[in-house]
Amino acid sequence: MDWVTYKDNNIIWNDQATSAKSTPNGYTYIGNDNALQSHVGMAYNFPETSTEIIGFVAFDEKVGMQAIRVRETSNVQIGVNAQNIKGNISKSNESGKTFTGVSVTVTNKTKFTQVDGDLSSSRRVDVKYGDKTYSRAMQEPPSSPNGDIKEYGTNTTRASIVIPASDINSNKNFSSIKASGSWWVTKPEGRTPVVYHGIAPWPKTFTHSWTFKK
Amino acid sequence: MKNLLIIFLFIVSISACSQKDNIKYEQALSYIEEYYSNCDKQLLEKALEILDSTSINNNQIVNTKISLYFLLKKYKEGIAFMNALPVDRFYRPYQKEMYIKSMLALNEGDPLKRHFYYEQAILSINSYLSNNPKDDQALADLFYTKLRFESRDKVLQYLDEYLKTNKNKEFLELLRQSISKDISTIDCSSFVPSDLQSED
Repeated sequence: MDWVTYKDNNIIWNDQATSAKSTPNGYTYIGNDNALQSHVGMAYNFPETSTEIIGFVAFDEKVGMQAIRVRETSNVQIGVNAQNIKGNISKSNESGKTFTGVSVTVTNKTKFTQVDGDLSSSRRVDVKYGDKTYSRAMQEPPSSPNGDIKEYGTNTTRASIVIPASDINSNKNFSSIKASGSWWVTKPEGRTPVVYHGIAPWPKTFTHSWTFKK
Repeated sequence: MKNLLIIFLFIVSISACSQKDNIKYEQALSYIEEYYSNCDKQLLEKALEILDSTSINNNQIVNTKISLYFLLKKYKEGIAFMNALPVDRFYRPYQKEMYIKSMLALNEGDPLKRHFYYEQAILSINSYLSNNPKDDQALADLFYTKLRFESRDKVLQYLDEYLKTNKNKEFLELLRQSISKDISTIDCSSFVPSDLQSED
């Protein structure tokens, strides 16, 4: 059971296809999810990107901002998105497995030295594919049902952008993937940003980009 | 009995005031947070107005007001506000002078006078550092104060000189990579996403 294409280039799932030989006439064999990614020109490995900075935050103990260290690491993964859709159930596709698009998942990890409160971040991901830009805010991944033990000084956020199958074709390419944002100290009263310095209280920002050769 | 009742009423009224002030502080912080997402300075004016109306002057409120004076470029008000604070409320003895002299410099149109104030701020940090050479916080204050008034290239030159003799190499290297741009070039486009920008 693997992915195949039909004459019209539609990508479909076929329970019988396991190689070119076992692929029914009129169809072209693609293979598993990895092969499908290559087929649509989206098989990439991205290097981890990181930024380490000194920023300033206020503590309640005294007046004047104090320096803290923050390290932000970004990783990108591209994967095939598929869903079981009842309307697509057939003899050769009993589960109705359907290619719905390609997901670009960016995971960021923030490590920081002690602050008054918790340090989270406000980040977004922008993916340029073809002539479109897909954007999404990053969020904390949902916690597991049994609860999570979180190490103080580390936070993780993630955003997954799905490029729909209807937007994907071999004439289009990725031009860039970008994760950008700033860091915020969260207390029960509200949020304040990590800034350049007490005498320059603008938020420190980071941008991690991956670009693609044309 | 009458005295006990008076004390009780006094405690209740103080607690009610403090609760009101906490709500005001939360409201001010939410305005400031919104400012950082759209650069609308009216939000900062509102935040300052709210904080001015509180009856308490704790470190949270003081720190927030200092940032507001810098962001709103209300340097004269900021100087008057900080002059009234005792030196021992700051983490380090030079910091009160660092903030005040920086505001005096930023408020000054004459480049010579501006330079004079800036040099005074640097002098007070250096004087502290001569007795506390391993204080990372003071080193960060020194180079960021320089960056407020000098180009990034020049500050990095100072930092490289410092790196030759100073033992805090790891911290200074990190500081070097943190000084990523000239502070004079920072505007709303540096931190507000382009599709959310309104005005500077």
